[in-house]
Amino acid sequence: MVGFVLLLLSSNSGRISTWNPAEQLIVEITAPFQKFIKRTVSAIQCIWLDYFYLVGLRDENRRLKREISTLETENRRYREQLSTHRRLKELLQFKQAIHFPVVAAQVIGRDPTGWFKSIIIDKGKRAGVRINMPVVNASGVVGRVVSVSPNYAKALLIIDQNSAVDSLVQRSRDRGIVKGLSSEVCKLDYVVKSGDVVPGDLVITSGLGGVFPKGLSVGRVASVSEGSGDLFKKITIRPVVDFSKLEEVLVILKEEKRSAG
Amino acid sequence: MNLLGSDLFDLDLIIVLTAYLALSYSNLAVALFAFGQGFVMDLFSAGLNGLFASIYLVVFCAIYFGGRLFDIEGLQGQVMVVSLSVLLKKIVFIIFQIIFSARVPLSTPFLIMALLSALGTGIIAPLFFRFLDSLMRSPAESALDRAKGEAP
Repeated sequence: MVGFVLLLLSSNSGRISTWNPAEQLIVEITAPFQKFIKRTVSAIQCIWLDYFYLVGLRDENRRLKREISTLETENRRYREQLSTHRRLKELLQFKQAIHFPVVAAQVIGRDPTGWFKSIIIDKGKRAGVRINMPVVNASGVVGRVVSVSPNYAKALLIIDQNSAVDSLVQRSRDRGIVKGLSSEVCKLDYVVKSGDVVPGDLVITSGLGGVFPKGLSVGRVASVSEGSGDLFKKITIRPVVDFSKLEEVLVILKEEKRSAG
Repeated sequence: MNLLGSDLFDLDLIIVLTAYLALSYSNLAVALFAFGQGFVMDLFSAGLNGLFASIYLVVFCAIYFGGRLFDIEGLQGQVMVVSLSVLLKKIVFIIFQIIFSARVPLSTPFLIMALLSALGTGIIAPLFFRFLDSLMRSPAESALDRAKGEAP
């Protein structure tokens, strides 16, 4: 074998290396095998890269999607906690501003009929809630308690058609009664024509109805008009409370002085 | 203006459910169901005490007499009975408002929405009936039905 190798090496000396007929024959025979092996390796590579590798990728993708979903849920929970924290902070500030004991309650239901405006709260007699106690939030007057059970209470919103709140215009001190219209606006009745009321004026509770303490915000005057034969102005007010977003409220634990609202 | 929710388009599923129950249960049971639904609504609503209990009893009567006038087992009868019951509910509500409250929500939007609500509830009633039928049927009955369907 050593001799054969030496013979092959010696055949290279002094000329350009090229295949002799015997080598060409060997190449012709073995090249198809080489081509086959190359293609097989490529095919295996393709299968690996396009399938087995992607199987792992799919798993990884699923895992990442799960992680994103978990993080999104967590993020939503934190945002919700932040939002609740802000609302409760506002309620706490409001609670410190009024000089009555209050109890915080969550709104757990709304009027199921859609024809009347009331809410159900998760505090009742056991928490000291009684009929006709005022219900407020950080923005202003929400309504008053009309029914109470040991653990729940129903509050009539000031926008309900059966609601009436003795109020006054903060700037001019003109008195009137805020009545609900079961809509997003209320009307301020019994303000005499000589009264000074303009759109934008803040309407607050007068404290004379016996239910609501004096000075709580009720709404802002939206429009003022006067009919020719009327004794009083026609005033609509937009409540300061956003009744579509009521979540937490405060019940002022104040006993009613008189039966009127 | 949304006076008494007059611009609300509502599909009254309680009436549909009451009409469905009227097909399979005794009149007393259906009347009790209607009264109970109304009573619970009264508890949670700020309306007059007994308002919705009365309204749903009237609705039961409408379904009962409607069932005698129309074939409530059929598609058209179901649409008619439920639509008329919803319409009657709105009319009774207006009557109660006239009697017990100074404010009567008789506006054009209210009437249009009342008609649309009645029609909408009537149209979905047969679908709801089929859906409830499929829910009420036990798995064994469903399997039996399938087997009958597959039999030559």
